[in-house]
Amino acid sequence: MPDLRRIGVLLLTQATRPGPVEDALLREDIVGYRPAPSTTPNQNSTNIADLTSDRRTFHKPFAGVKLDLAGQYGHTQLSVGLNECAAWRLARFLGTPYTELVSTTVLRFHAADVATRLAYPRIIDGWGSLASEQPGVSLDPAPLDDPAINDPAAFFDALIAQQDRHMAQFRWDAEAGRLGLIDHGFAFARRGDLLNQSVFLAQRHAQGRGALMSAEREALAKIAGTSHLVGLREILDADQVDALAGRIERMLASGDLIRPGDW
Amino acid sequence: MIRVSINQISPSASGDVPVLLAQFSVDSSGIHAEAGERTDVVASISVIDPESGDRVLSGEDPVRWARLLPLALGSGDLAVNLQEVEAVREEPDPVRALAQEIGDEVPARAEYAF
Repeated sequence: MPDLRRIGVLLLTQATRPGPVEDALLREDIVGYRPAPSTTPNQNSTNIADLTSDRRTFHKPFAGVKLDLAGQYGHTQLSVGLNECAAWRLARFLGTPYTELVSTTVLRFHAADVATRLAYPRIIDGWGSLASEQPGVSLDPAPLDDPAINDPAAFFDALIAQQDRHMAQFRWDAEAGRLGLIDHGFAFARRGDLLNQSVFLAQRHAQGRGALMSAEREALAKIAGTSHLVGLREILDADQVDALAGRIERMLASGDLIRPGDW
Repeated sequence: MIRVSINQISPSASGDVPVLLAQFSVDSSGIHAEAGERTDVVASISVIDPESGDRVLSGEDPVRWARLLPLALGSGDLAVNLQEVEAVREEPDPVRALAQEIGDEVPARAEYAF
C-alpha cells in the first residue's frame, strides 16, 4: 500500500500543470515501441518509444530493472523508476539551467501491442519511467573542461546524490553547446550507499571549485523552504528524503558541495 | 581475448545509423585500441559487479571489466557488442628462424634466395 500511495502521488503531481514536453510524454500516443540498442537479456531493459509528434523517448519498465544491480546501489525496481521521475521533479522546481540539463521524465504505463510482441517476444513493458531523449554524442569528455557546463551538472549530481554518473551517462551536443544528463535511477542515495562514479562533481572538486555559488545557495534554501521538499517526501522512501534534507543542510552549513559518495 | 565494439545508434529517415565510438580488444594484459576515438574514455568507466558489488576497474582486471561493461552502458542508444576471439598467434618467420640458426653468415636479403 505505501508503494501505491507513492505512485499515486507522483501521477497526480506530474499531471498538475504539466509543461509542453511533460504533456507530450503523458498524453501522446506511443506509435513505435521496441527494445533500445542497449538492451540485452542480462541488463536493465530500456525501450525506445516514439510519440506521435516524432519525439523519441526512452521507456524503462519497472519489471525490466535488473534486481541484483539495483540492490547493490540500495534500490529496488520501483525506487529506480521513482528516482528517475524525482530527479526531473527537482530539476523542474529549480528551473533553468537544470530543466535543460535533465531529461524530462514522467511515470507512464505502456503495453506492447501484438505486432511488437511478435517482433520482440522478450520485450518487457508495463509501468515505468518515460524520459525524453537527450541529443548529442556519448563518451565525449569535452563538457568536463568547461566550468560553465561542468559545474551546474556537478551541483545537480551532488543534490540528488547521483551514484552512477560515468562518462556514458550524459550526451554532449557540441554544436548547441548543450549537455544532457541521463539515467537517474541510481540516485537519491542514503549515507553509506554505493558510489560508482560522479565525474562532474569529482572534476569540480579536483579543480578547486567546490564552494557553492550564490545561486546554488539560494537554490538549496529554496528547496529546504518548501513543504515536503518539493513533494519528494511523498514520492521517495523516507530515508532517501531524510538524506536529501541532510545533504542540503550540510552544504548550506559548510558552503561547499558534498564530495562524491558523501551522501 | 574479447573484442568490444561500442556504437551509438542514431535514428534517421532511412533507419537507425550506428556510429562507432570505440572498438578495442581486451586480454589479461590490458586494453588494446583498434578503432574509434573513445577507447580511453570507455576505459575510464568503472563498473559494478551485480553479484558481489565490487567496483571493477579496467586497469585492475580488464577481462572481468569488459564482461561487465554492457551493464554500465545500458542507457538506451548505445549498442555494446562483445565477441570472444582467439588471440592471433604470431607465426614463426622461416627466414628469420633460419637466420638465427646459422648466425651472421646470412646476407641481409637472404629471403630472395628461397
